[in-house]
Amino acid sequence: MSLEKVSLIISFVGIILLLFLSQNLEPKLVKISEINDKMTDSYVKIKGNLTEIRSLEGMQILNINDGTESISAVIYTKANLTKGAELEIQGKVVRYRSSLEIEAQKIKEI
Amino acid sequence: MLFEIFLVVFLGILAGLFTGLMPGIHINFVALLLLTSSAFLLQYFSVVALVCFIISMSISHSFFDFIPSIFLSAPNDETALSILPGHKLLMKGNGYAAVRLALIGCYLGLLLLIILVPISLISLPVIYGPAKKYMFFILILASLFLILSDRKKFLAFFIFGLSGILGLATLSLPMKQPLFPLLTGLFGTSMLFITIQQKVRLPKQKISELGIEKKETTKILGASVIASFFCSFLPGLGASQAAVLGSDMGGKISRRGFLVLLGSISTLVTALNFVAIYAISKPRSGTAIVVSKLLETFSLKYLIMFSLIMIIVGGISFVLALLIAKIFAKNIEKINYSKTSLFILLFLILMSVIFSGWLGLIVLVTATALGILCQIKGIRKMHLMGCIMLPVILYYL
Repeated sequence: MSLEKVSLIISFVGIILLLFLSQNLEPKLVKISEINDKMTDSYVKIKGNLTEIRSLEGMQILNINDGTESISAVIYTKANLTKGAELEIQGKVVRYRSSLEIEAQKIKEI
Repeated sequence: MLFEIFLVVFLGILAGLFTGLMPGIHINFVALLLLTSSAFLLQYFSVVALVCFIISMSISHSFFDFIPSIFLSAPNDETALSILPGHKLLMKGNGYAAVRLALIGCYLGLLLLIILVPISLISLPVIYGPAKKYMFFILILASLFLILSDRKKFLAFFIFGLSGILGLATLSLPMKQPLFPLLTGLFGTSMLFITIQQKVRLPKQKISELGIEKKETTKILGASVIASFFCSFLPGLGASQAAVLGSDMGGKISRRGFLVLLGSISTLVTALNFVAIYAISKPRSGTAIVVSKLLETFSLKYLIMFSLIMIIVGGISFVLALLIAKIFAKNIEKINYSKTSLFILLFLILMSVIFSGWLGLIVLVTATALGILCQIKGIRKMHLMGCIMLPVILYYL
């Protein structure tokens, strides 16, 4: 089999596999108190209560409390959320100025 | 304070030399390390000193990066397009001349900063707001222009589309540093694989100087200014695509001229990413994001200081990079090129696993296969930047 055919097959199979994984792989569920500097750039899942929403230009900052601690989650789209809602958030842990926050990728109301 | 600045600028040049020469080590990674350890470092250095270090490292990296890109076929996304014209010159024994052309471009780019900084400061705040509303159409038009300018339009569209889907899938994965295995596979390991498979032997390298015509220099400088300006605020558009857009806008440019253009745009875009923080408060690169997070207020005084530092660092990096390129040229034929390529390939695979885990390995293999396919079909590698362009276009939809 020629290199061209092999690379075409691997490209297609790889892309299909990655598409499948991107829809079905989920990050680990962690408590907010467990999130630390070592987890910067890692993907996590948290569950908690939405205690505050702040809308800024092009983003919303959500404050989530899971009973252990609070953390801010940033979303770059407008979401219809109400204070007090129970949310499940998947995203990347990032550092902004002196604190850690989550750049949310998926938000689900529980 | 002055001594502190001199020290960090010197350290920044050394850091840029290391990250530039080492395939796979991206300055964004080093800048992120700095940000995460900033609390510790700020006990010994001022915030301005840390920022000067990052800026010096970014500029010097853009110079040294061309050396492994051309001599070892191990580029990053910004220098990816230098591989083909650089490789062709390398195979004729003119690797040093190819690097020299790119470095001349890098320094010319920095000198163009003197014109572009005031232009950017006046026009970016005016253009950016309206441009944001039509970003989707601007990016679609730019992508279509690049595809239609290829001789094999259908295949170019196919490669753009496939790499776009690969990019979308990769960026949706819960994975650290997704761009590393993605861009390494598309532009680096694919080329290395072909080099090993073809058992490429490098001819003896000459320490020669190839020039370009004066008329072409003017075309290149004009194309650099226009392409870099747009690249500084349009998301998803990297130096590689800006270079192709610039060369298409400026009329036919020779292979040598393209290396100068790529060098110029690569360094100019790196510099303008920092200017954009002041002009429109929008950091456009990983290092610019780190700078904007460290420096709470980015004043005009800082902008002038950082611009001067960039030009000085550029001058020093130009001289040092030429010296290192000469050493590479004199010694590279003594090295078994295929074995060296194999070693670099294995190193990049290892780095992908370290940075991004087993998911990164799958991305790397897939991206490598796509890069090889693109190469075999004779399609311009810039269409592989669909991996970034398509996700950005869909973001603005």
